[in-house]
Amino acid sequence: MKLDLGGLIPATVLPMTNDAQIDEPGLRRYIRHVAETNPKALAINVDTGEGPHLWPKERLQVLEVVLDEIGDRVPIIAGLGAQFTEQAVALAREIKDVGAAGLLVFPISAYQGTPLDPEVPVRYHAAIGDATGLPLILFQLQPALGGVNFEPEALNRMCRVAQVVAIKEASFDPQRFVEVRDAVKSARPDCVYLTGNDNFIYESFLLGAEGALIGFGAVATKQQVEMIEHALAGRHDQAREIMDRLTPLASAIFDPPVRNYRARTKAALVMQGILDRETVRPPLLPISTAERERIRKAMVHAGELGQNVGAAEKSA
Amino acid sequence: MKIDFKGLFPATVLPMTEDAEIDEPALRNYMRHLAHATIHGVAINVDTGEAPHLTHEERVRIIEIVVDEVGDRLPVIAGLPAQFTDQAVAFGRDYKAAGASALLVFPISAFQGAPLDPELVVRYHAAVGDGTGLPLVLFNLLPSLGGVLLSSEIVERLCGLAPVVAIKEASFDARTFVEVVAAVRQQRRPIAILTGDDPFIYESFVLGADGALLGFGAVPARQLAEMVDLAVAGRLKEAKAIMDRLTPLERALFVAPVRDYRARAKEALVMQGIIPRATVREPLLPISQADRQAMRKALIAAGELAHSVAVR
Repeated sequence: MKLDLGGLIPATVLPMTNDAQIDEPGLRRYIRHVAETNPKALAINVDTGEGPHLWPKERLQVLEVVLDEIGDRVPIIAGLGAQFTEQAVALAREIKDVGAAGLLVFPISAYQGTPLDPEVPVRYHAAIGDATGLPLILFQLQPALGGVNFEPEALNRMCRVAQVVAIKEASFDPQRFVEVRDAVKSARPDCVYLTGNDNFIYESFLLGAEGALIGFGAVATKQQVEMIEHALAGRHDQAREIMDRLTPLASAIFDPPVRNYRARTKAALVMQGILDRETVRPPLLPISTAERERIRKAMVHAGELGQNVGAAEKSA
Repeated sequence: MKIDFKGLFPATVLPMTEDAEIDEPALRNYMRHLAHATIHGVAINVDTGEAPHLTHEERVRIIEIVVDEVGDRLPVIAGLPAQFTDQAVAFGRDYKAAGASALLVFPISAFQGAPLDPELVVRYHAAVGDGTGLPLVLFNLLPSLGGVLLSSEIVERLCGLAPVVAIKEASFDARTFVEVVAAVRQQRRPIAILTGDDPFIYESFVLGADGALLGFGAVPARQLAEMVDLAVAGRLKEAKAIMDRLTPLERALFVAPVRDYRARAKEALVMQGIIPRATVREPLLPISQADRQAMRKALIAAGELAHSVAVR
């Protein structure tokens, strides 16, 4: 399947049973729901989907279920979270065998600390690309979320790794977003520039984004697909109108502590009847009633929840 | 084995074959070498030992080898790097079965970001303690090294967990160190404070450390163990004299980029004839000739390498 990444790529949550195991029927139902909104692709087994808190076998199982459900209609990007080169290559081969359309390559702890010899990330990505031939999406993630901001030279060289097709930029810093855009585009004009900045999703498109790979896409997906289509077509008034409606929801979901965004997103989907329960896997904790109520209000404001539905559920 | 924390616990390197696999004979030899120093135990499968770059099965194998080689003489503290609670418990049980005496519990990515609900950290450690029955060493680690600084409230609550016996303090910040000491000393039972602060190892003992768990211990183990023993005994002047001699070596080992310290430590041990080669596993890279020369000079200055050996 040819990868067209120019639009919304939601990072999806993982529905779980009461004892925090994979809820396969719940996952199938949720994924069908997301696929109906016509996203460009789905990103699974990333942070939104609690990828770091799954066993490697579980990540493959999630991939199998999602591919079985919608793999014929929507390309599936799998998160590749590893710790060292050989491990990443082995995991990537398994992911390829199951049938993912591409890999989102997470930064590894060996990148931390300066200076970072560009040779370290370049060899890491080249090893994964050479072993699998799969399209790779680079990932620049802010240090507070466990990532690394790369220097222009490292970005330049990473973009030139043959299998790289796109980069997800998630520094949460607009100035850096622009600088990285320039570094990426001068190295590889065809490298698709994806925003991962949940704090300025719409504005990312004013700054040169060509698509969005974001956890916020897990909820209110249809509206975000539309918003990005408007933004890419230059219909900024319409894009902004949708984003203004959605912004309180984005804030409610990504407010500190950010780690709660997975439970909060699940709470929003439970309110909509799309998920059965909010369960997240330990070490993550359930959210408070106050957090839930703020999300409910933001969902109503976003037009994602009828006021009646909210009230009815509340009294139920 | 009962652990006496008032001493040095070197975090050890992992000797590797040319294709970056575990070199078992070299690992055994290196462990026997370390056991000649007055160390109080070894810390294996931590960052110094490239644990993040090993599979779980390899980490288990390393524990088995080290316990087989020196387990009758030395407590073996095993690093516990995991990503989620169930996994940490499962890994911890395997490490116990392999013979580990205690676990050094690494911070996990879910600890990142503020505010950090103490409940999350407490439940994680409680699950590991309950699930394994092993003594736990807490780990306060500088964020730029991939860790999380634990608030005094979290430290106090963690120290309330029965399996917790010690904390490795590696904030690299003297003020934080003092606050951790204060939080730990509020406990009714003794909990050992192990310095992991390479920039102020000697000074840590002035600030209240009981012992040291350090990657620097991988190289000048004998001298550093002597320094720690003197500091613990209150013979600060003698301790300081040794530390002054070792400090240039410490600086050469941990100069930026810090990730190279594993390759540098191995190069130093190769120069001393203790391990056969300096191979590190990818994504880590070999060090430069200039880096190697700096290590050689620092080893000589520290009295860890004879001039004649260096010239050869």
